[in-house]
Amino acid sequence: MADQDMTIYQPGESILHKMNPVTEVVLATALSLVVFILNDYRVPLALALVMLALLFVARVHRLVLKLYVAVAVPFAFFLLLIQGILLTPTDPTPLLTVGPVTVWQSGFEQARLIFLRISVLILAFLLFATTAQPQRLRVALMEKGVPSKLAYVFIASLQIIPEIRNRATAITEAQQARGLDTEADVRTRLSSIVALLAPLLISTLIVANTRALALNARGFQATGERTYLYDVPDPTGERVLRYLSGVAVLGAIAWRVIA
Amino acid sequence: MSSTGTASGESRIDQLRESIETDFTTTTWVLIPLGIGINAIGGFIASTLKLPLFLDNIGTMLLGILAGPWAAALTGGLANIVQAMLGNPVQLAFMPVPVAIGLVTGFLARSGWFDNVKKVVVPAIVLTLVATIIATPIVVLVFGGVTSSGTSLVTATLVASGRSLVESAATAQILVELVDKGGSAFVAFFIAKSVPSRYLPPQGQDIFS
Repeated sequence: MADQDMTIYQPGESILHKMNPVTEVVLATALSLVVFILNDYRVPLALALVMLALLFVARVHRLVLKLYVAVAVPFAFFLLLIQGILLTPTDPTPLLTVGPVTVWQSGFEQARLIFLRISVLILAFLLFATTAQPQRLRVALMEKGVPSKLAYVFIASLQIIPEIRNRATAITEAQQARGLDTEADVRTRLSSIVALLAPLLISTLIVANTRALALNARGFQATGERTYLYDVPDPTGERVLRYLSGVAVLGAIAWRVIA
Repeated sequence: MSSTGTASGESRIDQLRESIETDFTTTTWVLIPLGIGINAIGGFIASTLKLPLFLDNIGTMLLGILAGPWAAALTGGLANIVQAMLGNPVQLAFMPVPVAIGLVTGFLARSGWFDNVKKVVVPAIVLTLVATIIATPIVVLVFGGVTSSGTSLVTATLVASGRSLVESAATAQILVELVDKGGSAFVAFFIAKSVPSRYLPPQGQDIFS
């Protein structure tokens, strides 16, 4: 039951799956920061290629590529349209002219940089989300000093979303049976939001009160050391990796300031 | 002089800590996942009713009204991380927006701007402005002016008519936020009002009793 949630986690045995989830979060955040700090498109290009290779190592490529393409294709289209074609260039050197449409060199370079940066951000966090098991993440976070309540909230949110979704579907059907019109004019449909969300909130609030009593009875407000069901190892190598990623961010800032 | 200075400084920190601690009862801790869940369900409701809205901050605003600014800010921030775990990491770059929406809603609710439906006009406008001011630099600097397809079309049209990227992105953003955040503020108010008061956490009972 504990594993029933909506995350895109894919069970596996790869080196990324065995990594401490905290290391993965730190790396994903540090890499995303580095590519946004640096101005050279070759850095995010190289990192994106490394991450593409890691997708296959972790055997999560099918899901991640599907999610990535769904975001990246429309993004690339609008980016090229706005930055490359429509925006008046500072340096009017055309890169490519097709009929009345001109793609500007400087605009294209800007679009390429932004696209590769966003690609690194998306791929890094999708790699993390597909290979970090939520319960392991929770334990690893608590071992790093994240308050247990915060960790509870995080996991509970992941688990509650499918429950709320089922409830919302049931309420929608019930209200439609009572005459809720999803084809009516905009005004009526706007006021229908309340008709759908109010019962959802009230019923979940009642559950929340019960849940709060249950949690208090199980020592939710208790202080003191906790013991964990899972054991999440944190080898020295990963600790070094985390420090190095911090150094990389600082190095990128220094490079940007000097260069 | 210096000792009184530090004393008043400390008491200010204590006040802040106390204000944060009173927000976080066990009921609040349980409400936060519900808020995140309601944020996640907003899009589903909007598509069921065929409305061109995101409605992805109603849960954050509800927490602001019912449980206070700190809990709401946490709800907004965590909701973005949860979205990333569900396969939508692009939202991470916008994390300051829901955090600010949570804080602003919470403080406005505390000073009585969610007491009746006429007053909600003010939070609706303030939230629109806050969301636009924070989101526009992110859209321009991080995403080169591109967001969701609908907004990007508006931005592209404005850029094509010769306006600067910042101006175009800000205009597109304020149009979208006015409908979405403004609308969400009213929705959050009506939902919070329809909850029987015995199920409300302390701040909610103060506002709706």
